[in-house]
Amino acid sequence: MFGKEAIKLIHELDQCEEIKPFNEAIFQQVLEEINSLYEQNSKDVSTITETNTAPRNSVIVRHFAMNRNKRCLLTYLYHRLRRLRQIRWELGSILPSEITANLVSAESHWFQAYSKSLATYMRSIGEDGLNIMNDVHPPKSLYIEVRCVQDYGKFEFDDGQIVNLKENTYHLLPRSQCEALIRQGVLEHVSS
Amino acid sequence: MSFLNFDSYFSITEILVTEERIQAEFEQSLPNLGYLCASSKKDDIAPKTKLDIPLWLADALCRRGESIINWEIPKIFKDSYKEILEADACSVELCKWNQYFYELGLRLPRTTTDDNHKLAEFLLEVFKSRFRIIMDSEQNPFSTPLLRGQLSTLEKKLLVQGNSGKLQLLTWLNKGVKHIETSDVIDNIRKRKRLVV
Repeated sequence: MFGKEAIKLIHELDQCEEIKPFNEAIFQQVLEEINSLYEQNSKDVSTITETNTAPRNSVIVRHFAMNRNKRCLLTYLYHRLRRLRQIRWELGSILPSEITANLVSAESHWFQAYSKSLATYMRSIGEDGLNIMNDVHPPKSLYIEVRCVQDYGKFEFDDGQIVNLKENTYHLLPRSQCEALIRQGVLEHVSS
Repeated sequence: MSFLNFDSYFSITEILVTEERIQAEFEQSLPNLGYLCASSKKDDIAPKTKLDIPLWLADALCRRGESIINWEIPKIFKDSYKEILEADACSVELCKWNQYFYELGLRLPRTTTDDNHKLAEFLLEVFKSRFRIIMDSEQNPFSTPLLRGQLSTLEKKLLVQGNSGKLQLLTWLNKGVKHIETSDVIDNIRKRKRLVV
């Protein structure tokens, strides 16, 4: 039956919420299927006459099959981009290598363009820009206690102060500076 | 709530639901498509051939004015199965019948409006009677693993949503200082790293 390969892509999306390696092999197969359907259709169209209308049914069936395949491919691309965008909001503009390894070049280009647009927008708010990634939840205190989970090295604040983030050290840091680091998994928010 | 957003072109659920097979009988011949029917060696599909075709194809072919196919209602929506659900909907393992029981019922090609109406009403009744057990286990964080095997995909989603809603309410009631948490993405990557090591 038509569309057997295309549905595999959708199953892959359904099974796992993460971005998997781009399934180039199946993607190409589906494209080939579409092409061959199209060729068969253009062959059959010429045989339709007033007395012989039967090929029309086959043409219709193949047409729907092509549309179905197209829909599966577009959905695959669309949901990968959605997930990538979600990650941009969670982790910021620098992606961990585990994720970048799974992207194709068009997706990396899109990611850079998206980051750029977002940065331009954030700069345009107010007088000297506003980081809308900060304070996703309303803060209750300006400083929070954090534990360092991995060696990060030196981290410089906006005011020029430098703190050395070494594994298993505790710090009391301004909340606005370290929110991104916590979400990236470098620091851990310690509840008081 | 977007559990049943059927109109979306990019909906994963919708695509998976429409991949389900239903039995159909072709009324007109389809030249050069004989390879779809594995048991026949002819080039064409002759009229009166019976074939399991995916719902997306059946639906598209039914929507055209003249009918190319006659489709048959899947057995899980036939009277004998309806009787089982009417007797006690809560004890049925719905996901074994079909992962997308409700969605499939709603997505079947249009027939007479009367039939459609009846089926929709029937699905609603089934859902109402099963909704109570979902609600119960939502409130109870130690839900029985047995229940998960019984639910269809839609019901599972509701259960997960309900559980997280309950948790959110609890944290709000505790009035804790808002905790910043590590992103789920990073968490998952770490888990995998641990597996590799």
